[in-house]
Amino acid sequence: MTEHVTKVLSLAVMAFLFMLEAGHANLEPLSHADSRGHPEFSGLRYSKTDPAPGWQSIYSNRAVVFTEQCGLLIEGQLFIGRRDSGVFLGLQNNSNHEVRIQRGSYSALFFPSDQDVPLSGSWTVEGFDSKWLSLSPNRSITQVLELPNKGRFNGTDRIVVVFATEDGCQVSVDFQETSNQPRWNFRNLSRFDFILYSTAEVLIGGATKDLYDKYEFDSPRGGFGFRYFLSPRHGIYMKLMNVADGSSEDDDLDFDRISGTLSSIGYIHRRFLSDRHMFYFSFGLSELILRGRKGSFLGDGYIDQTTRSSGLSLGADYEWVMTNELNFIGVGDLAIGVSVELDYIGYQGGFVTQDGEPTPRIGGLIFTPGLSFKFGF
Amino acid sequence: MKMRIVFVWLALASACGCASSRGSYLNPYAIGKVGPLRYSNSLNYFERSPEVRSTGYSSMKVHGLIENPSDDSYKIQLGDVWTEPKTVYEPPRCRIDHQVVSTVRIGPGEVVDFVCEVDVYVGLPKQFSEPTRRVVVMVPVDGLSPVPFYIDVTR
Repeated sequence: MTEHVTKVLSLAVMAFLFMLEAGHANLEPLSHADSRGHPEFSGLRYSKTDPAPGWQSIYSNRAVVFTEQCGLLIEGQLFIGRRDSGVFLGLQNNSNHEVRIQRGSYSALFFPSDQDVPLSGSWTVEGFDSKWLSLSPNRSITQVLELPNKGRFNGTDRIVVVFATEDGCQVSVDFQETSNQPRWNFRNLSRFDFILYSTAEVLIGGATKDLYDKYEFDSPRGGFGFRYFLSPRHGIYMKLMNVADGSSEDDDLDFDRISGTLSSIGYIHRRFLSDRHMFYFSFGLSELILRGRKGSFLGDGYIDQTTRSSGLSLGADYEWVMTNELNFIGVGDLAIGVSVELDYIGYQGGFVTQDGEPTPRIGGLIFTPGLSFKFGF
Repeated sequence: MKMRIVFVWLALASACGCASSRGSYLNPYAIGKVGPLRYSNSLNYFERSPEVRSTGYSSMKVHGLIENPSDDSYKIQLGDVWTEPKTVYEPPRCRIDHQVVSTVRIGPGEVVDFVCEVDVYVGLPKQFSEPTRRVVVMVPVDGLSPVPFYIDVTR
């Protein structure tokens, strides 16, 4: 009966996860356009208001920069979205001769740090070769250039996008924060997390507890996990924990060593409590794999049995972010925290005794509190 | 991620030569000068072209930017905006910051950002008539030629 309930619940959770993912796909389409065909910039739908409030053209005191340089009439707009940012450029050749621009020659200068960051982008015009774009008189083109990680904006109050024409004339499109608002402050958001877990105690209930109570657990327990975020808040996780690695001198027991691995996979939600404090909530499916052994591997009467039972998992993590800057190994986030996970394992698998009799099936509640150390990329 | 996908799409659109057909569902981008004034419809560029399925009046919007880099001021007559083909019944309604305005003065170094809603009679292809493919919204400016903004009609 319990086994059936567990299976039904597992199927329900899988169906819910599937629907959630499908719904999420609707909210944040992976295509370039929404149902109406709008290009979107990093989740920021193009707004009628200032593309980047606070950032203004030096000349016009507006977020839009118009300028004429090197025979080009230029419009620039800065977009700052939830995850990425970019610059829209519209160019028209206002001269009476052809203007050639080298593809990939765009850079952004961030002040006051004066970092020179190469930009990537795409042309929205036909008829260019692999290296040069030829712009005949009166012809217009548009471009969208991707700016780097928003963490680059921290402490920055001016961005200048520069590129050059073939004859060496340099174009600069200048965006400056001239308002009285505080400077932009963004944090690096990790897309992929690798977490190490360490747990001092695993609390086990149900039939599994009866089995566990017969063994001494003295080796360290812990594990590792991965998170992948499809959006700033929503992601999937996988976690693998060694929850049991014990032994017993009692010859009457079916096994003298027993080990257990608890794995879980599912949905994870990320919340930002502040710049330094983050909270995660997760739920998914879990599986407990127990392995019992008795005797020597090379000796007679060696017993090695493995059984598995699946169930449901609920988890919560709190993290304190130690650093949010890219370091020498390319890690953006280093964080320590506490993690708790509660699993209900269905009574599905069980061992067989030496007499050939089945033991009670493995199941019950497993509570794993612990510490975590995260590397975010 | 989405931005990268936009880039990929734009690159593919360019590479396969279908960039010109982009105008079939996105409004065309235009940047230019009228006298000393600079204008663009970049805010409208990211909005989908109006789709017309039957002959009749179709409501469409144009979102324009005009910048005045000169030392002089100019008066933009947003209340006298007209379209080509011409509208018959409802006159264009232009708004700045959601307020309907008829005249706006653009001073030195200023940028005016406005939206005009127009009702245009758009024909479908018939035996004796050409379909309307592009609507031009003309914005008059005192002392200068009108500033044109374009909307491409899709079917």
